[in-house]
Amino acid sequence: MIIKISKRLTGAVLLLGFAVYLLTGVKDANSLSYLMPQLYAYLLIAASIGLIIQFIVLRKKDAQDAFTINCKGFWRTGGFRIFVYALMILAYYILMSIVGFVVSTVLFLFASYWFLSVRKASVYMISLAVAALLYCLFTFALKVDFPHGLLY
Amino acid sequence: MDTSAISTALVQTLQPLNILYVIIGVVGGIVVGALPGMTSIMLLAIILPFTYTMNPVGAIILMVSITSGANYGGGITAILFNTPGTPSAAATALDGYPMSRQGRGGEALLSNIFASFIGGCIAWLIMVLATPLISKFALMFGPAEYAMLLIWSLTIIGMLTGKDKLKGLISGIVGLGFSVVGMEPFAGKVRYTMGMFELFEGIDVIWASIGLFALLQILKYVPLRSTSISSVEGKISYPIRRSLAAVFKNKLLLLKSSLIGTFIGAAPGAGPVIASFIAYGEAKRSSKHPEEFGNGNVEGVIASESANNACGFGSLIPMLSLGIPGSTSAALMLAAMIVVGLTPGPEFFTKNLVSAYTIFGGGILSNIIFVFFGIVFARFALKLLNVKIAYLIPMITLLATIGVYAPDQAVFGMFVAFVFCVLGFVMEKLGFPVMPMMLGLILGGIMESHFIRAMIMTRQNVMKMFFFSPICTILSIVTVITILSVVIQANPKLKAHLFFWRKKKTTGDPQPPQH
Repeated sequence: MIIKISKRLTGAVLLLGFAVYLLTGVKDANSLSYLMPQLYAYLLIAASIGLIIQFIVLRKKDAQDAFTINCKGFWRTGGFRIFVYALMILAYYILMSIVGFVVSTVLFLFASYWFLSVRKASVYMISLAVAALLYCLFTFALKVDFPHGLLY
Repeated sequence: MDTSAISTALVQTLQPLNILYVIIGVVGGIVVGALPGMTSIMLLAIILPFTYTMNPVGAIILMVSITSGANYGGGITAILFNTPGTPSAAATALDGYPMSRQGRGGEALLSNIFASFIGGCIAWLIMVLATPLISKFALMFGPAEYAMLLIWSLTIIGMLTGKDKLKGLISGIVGLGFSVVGMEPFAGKVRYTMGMFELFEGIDVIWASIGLFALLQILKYVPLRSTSISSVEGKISYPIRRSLAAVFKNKLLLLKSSLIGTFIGAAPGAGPVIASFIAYGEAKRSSKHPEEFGNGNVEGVIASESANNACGFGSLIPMLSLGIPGSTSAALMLAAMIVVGLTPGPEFFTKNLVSAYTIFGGGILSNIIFVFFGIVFARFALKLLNVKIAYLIPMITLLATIGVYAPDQAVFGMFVAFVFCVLGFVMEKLGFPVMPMMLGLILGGIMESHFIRAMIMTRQNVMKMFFFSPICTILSIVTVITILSVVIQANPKLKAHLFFWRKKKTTGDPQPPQH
């Protein structure tokens, strides 16, 4: 299945959502504290209306406005790899909060290289050495206290 | 000028210990600046307690050298990987990275070094000759003047957009929208934090820049994992002479960008990000080939880097002569000066003239030494362009993660960076450029406080603010000119209509004979 969406229309909807979020956060419309959020929200609303008008006017002329997602073969595309790697980064950050910097980094480096089809053992070793060097540099020279995790 | 003070200062500057401080500072600055997310501020903060035991002038020379090295170092990763080491190097990435992709990474890195050096020298010269004068000028900047300066900076967004100006402007407004998160600067009201106390101080520029540039670029690298960054196979050229010639060819651009950097640096609170973006926008506006900007035009690298380094020196002007720091790094240097017993202020140049000249000497020495180390460092860094991207991706991710964690030592920033990465990815897929959003986020926070103060001063009369003082009037005129030039550049038909005589002249030229 191929899903086709308009970039302008999707952008307009997201912008409207952001503008509404900014406006709902306004507690006192006359206060100077909320002057800028209101100004930006109205500018975003005006911009999204502009995008909607552009979408209506250029709907048939501008072929580049369409964004297609191929659901059937998605797992074979570059987009799927990007999606998985993004999840790996997120997992790394969550894992760092639980098991600490050292364990999560070693796991992340091994998983990343494996995912990126790197099989050379030397690359794994060099990356671990660089990670250790960075850890020492930041811990001892720059006095950074890396997360130890909840388990330790 | 007191020649005996100058000669004494020269002898002091060239003391072996001071030279050693310069070398340590420059190398440390380059390393810290090159790491995404890390800025010179962190290193300066670490060194601050040690300055108490050092000789007073040597301590300040070391700090000046760190700033100088970091200014250059930030540009290295911006050019090589499109991941700016410091937020101020973001403008350098706009043209530096496309140059690397085209196999011109060596030229970009060398232009970065030479432009930074010349920018620093021009700023240094201004600092030596006109410090009292510029200090008076810096003092003329009140909330209204700052608000106008920042409004002018915002018009630069128009210069950063691609073909679709509307989408670029929208991206800038989205950035401004994110800048209102956190405690409001005037009354202290907490807004849009969703109950997270980590957001009370707003969205940190480092979180956003790592997410929008480093992590986003990493995701873009994933499908290209079996290739290298440089699209040109084989050895990447390292044309020292050609790069030097290219930098000197743009003498006027260098001078203009350096002056922009120096004056913005001298205005407390404006900072190098604004300086580099204004210089970049101005270079694009005045260029004969504005369409080449963003596609690997060396002028973009020259403009942003010369302004960036000049700004570092510019921020020393109000610090030394008035005791007002122009940036965070200048504030740390001010603290160090007070610790070592050199009290900056109006009497600094009368009571400590030799020390002042020695600090100036240390500044220019650091500028010379970073050229040497920069050339050596860049040669090694350039080799990374030929390494398979798959080998680099996890390491850049690790560096970006450390960079976002280290300044606050909090995991929260990493998650915000990830959110910005996803947001940037969606925006790019929908055709919205991310650079204007970054600029909007940076400028929005500073602008709000000055704008509201100016509103109170002018009794909420916005029109009065535009003509509040001669500086406001000049900045208003410059803003209008910038907006008009963006509109004209965006509409080829309007441009042809306005400059019809040029077209006539072109069409009237005799045609070459056809063979």
